[in-house]
Amino acid sequence: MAKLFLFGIGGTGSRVIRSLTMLLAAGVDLPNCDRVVPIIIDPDAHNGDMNRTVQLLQSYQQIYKRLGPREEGFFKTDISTLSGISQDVNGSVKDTFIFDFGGINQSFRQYLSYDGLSVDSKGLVDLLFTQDNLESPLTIGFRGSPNVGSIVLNKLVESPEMRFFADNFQDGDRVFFVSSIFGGTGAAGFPLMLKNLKDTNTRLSNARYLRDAPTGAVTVMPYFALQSEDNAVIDSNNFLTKTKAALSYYEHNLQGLDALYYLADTPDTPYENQPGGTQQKNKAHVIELLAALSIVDFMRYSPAELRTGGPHFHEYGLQADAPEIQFSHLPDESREIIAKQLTQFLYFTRYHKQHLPTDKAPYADNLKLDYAMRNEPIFRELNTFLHSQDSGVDQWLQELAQNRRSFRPFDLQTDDFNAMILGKPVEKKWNDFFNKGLSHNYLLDNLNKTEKSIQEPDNFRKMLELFYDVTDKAFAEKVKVV
Amino acid sequence: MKALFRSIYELIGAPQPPADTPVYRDVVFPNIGLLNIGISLALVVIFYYVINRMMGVATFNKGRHWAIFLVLNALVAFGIAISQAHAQQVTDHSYIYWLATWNAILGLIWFFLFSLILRKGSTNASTTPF
Amino acid sequence: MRHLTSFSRLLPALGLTLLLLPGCYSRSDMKTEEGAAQEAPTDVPPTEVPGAVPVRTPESAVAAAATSQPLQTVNVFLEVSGSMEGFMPKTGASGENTKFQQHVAQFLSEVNRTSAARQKTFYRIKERPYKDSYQGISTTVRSGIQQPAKSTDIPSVLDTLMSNYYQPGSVSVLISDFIYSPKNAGAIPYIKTDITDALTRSGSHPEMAVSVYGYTSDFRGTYYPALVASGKKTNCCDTEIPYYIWVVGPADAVRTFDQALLEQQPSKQAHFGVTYPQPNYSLLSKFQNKGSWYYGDAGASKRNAESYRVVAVSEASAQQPVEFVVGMDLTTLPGQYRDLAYLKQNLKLQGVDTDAKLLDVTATTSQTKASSGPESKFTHFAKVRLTRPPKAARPLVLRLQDQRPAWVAQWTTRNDATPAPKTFALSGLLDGLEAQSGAEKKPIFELPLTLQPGE
Repeated sequence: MAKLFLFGIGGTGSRVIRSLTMLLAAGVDLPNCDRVVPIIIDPDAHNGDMNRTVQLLQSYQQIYKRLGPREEGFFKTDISTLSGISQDVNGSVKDTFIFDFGGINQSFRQYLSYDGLSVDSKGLVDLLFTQDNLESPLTIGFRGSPNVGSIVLNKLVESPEMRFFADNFQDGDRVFFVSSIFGGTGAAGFPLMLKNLKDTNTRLSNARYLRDAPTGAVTVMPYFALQSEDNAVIDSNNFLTKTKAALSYYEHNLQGLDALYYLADTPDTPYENQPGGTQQKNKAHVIELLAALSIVDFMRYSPAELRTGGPHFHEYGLQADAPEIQFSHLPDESREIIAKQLTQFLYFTRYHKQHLPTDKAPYADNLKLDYAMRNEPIFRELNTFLHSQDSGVDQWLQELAQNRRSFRPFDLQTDDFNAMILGKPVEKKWNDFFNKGLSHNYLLDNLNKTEKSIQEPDNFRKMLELFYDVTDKAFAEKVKVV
Repeated sequence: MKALFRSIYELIGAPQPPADTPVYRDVVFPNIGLLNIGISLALVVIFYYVINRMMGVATFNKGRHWAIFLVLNALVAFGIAISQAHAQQVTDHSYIYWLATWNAILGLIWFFLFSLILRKGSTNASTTPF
Repeated sequence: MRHLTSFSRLLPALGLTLLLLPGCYSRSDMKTEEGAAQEAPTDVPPTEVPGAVPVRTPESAVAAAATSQPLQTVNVFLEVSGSMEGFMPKTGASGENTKFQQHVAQFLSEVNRTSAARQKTFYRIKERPYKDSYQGISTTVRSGIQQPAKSTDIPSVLDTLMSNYYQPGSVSVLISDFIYSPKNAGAIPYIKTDITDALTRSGSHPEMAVSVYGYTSDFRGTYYPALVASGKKTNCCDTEIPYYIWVVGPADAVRTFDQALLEQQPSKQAHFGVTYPQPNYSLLSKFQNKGSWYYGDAGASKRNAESYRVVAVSEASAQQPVEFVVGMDLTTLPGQYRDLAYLKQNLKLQGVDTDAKLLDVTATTSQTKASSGPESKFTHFAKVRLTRPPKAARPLVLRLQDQRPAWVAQWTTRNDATPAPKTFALSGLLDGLEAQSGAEKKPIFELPLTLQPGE
């Protein structure tokens, strides 16, 4: 039972985990690992990105629980909370994907007990932190201030979660960090966490396993800008400066890392400047998808490959500098990993929305879909996962398509399955009356046909297997390659 | 076989005029009975296996589509009863039309029964009509 | 692979369809089935009909075969006694002849020419038969009797015929006025016995049959009445005098000869001991039929079935009686039995446990002859009515009685002193023939039918 412990630090961490969840839901294979344990580290408990990621993860988890492990299919990889991997004897670890900061609703000044410090210490603190830093409440994160973050996050190692994590760490498990280099939480948290895990003098259990575990990280460098506002706490004009500083630190202080992925893009449209809280809910961006792909890439390496030749550094380049990325703009390797799976998942999602509720067909009757869709919680969960206005697959694809640079492999407006892959419509022979490509009839016929051959008593499992098989066949027969 | 069809078709009364009784019993009843079963079966096979399986048509499986075949079957059953009767040169009598109507009703029953039996083997209409 | 399996799962259904579709019945199918059944040696009457009269098909088949076989010998005997002179007067200056001469000369010619017999022999009867050639006997008829013989008495002539000329496949044809004049008047009451004795003296011949054809002819000569006492009349006569052709032989041979040579001639006839093949007959379900009945025969739907014998009555009552017609083809019977008056009088319906009645007998008309229905095959129709449905299968027989024809009585006289178209003691003579042919009088034909309740 090899696990991947995935630390998503800061808002970027949440968003990359969201993308990864989508990829896993689409059935992208994550080798060398049976279970992903995402741990979101973000002191900002109300962060919008984090909340919808958590919501998505919970949906996924529910769905996976019902489906169980399979050779292939949608929702193939197990995603579990930290507490879910083992029985917690103390009960101090909550069953959540979020790292519990134990409600730090103090200001930084209070956190440091500034008033009780000696004069010398006060002087040092005043030297390192601005007045602004000291006064700001910690509940909304570190707001682009790694110097604050590094102090707070250093304490994490002593938390029950970290101990629980270390206690359950086994040989073969891997660790991966997702962070942005230019923010507050991520920039500070990633090196700290790494340092603590790999510390030879650590008080954590399983220290040797931790030290030897294959460890990777993706560092997202600036890819967006924020609207400049006079009083804004975060100024995107500082991003590059901060990045430079951080990189020079990473250059000498990242010990025990086997693979490091760098991602960056030139900013285009500035985001609305929201330093944190529920308003910080950014549209999904292709860079996050690529960051998620870096996790897949990391998992595709065997431990031996990772260990030889020291840390591996990766960067990512598109086939072409297109403002709207389609499948053809992706490098072959990425395309192979995601194109078919995403297409299948899109077909499923679209069919689920467009036809499933109205299909009067044997497969639907046999699955008792009419009743199940209305009454069975798991079907509702799936509906949420796919179509939720906030966190659903539809929404995610929309956001990717709307962002700059946009990831737009699909035409999300059309109802015609033949035209859904942009730049690669399904070929229909003009003279073949019966070959309508990916018509509703074609899909329906295959659904009915395949449904008979699947021996599966549970109707939810059967439905997902059915749609995976049918979309698989549809892709193989009608799309062939993208 | 003949006795079976005779008992089925004489449920609506003895053949008229009485002089044609042997022709009806020996020829017309078995003929239309077998044809009726054969045609009902053929239509059921066409609906469930040809259209809704071999041809891969998945949107012709609603109750109303099934009903089209059902009615078609009844019409054909009506027609073959009349044509068989005439082919045997029986005396014209309103009985022929009663027989044809009864045959049509039997056609509906056969079609329904064959549907129940054979629908499971269909891909796209295995739950039609219900 | 999946496609293959799906197709193979279709196969049973397709197979069933293929099995069902050609399984249709047609009348031609049934005909062949029926034909096959008939080839089987056990062509027995339907066993489900208790007490049914056996259908006589095998017998009639044999009879039909016999008809096609030519006769071995035909022996023609012409009486040339004095009483016959008036029929065959010497040719006068005017060259007139009698109807007898005309008729008999033609008859002899026909016998001589016929292919119905292999060998033809001609005799003149005097005290005993003298063999003659056709030319000789023909000349005798045409130019008159040159040397009239003594009158011969009928019993001895019959005795001679039976003793010397009775053979299977052969017939004796006797042309005579058959005026029986016993030697003494006391023998007259015993005519019947004498005839019977004469026929059986040389041994019993159960197969023996006699056909009697009666004719009349003008008569120019001396008339010898049977009773000598009344005296002979010369220069007779103003009225026509009867003469007869008797055909004597085994029943089959007699029937064959009758049919070949005598049937076409208008005559009075009476037959004794002659058997006839059962005529073709059939029920007609669409000819003057009434009420609820239908053919109950197995395979009755066969369009060109030869015949139907079973009446299945669905319902019958006084208000709604059942009427059915039996068509009969009587062409093989002698004219006497085809006579509508005779049939009306002598065709009887006999049934068990039924009120079926023979309503009428009719002959074919131009309309029925021209019909496309089966009625065109029949010469006569018997219509039957019943008002009570049978409780179970019951036999019903149409039987034609063999009745002494009415002309015999009319042509018989007790005293032939006055020349008249009557013959002395004719019925007595025929009584003798009848007595010979057996105690019980066989019917001419029996047409068995079956009445059964409709199923």
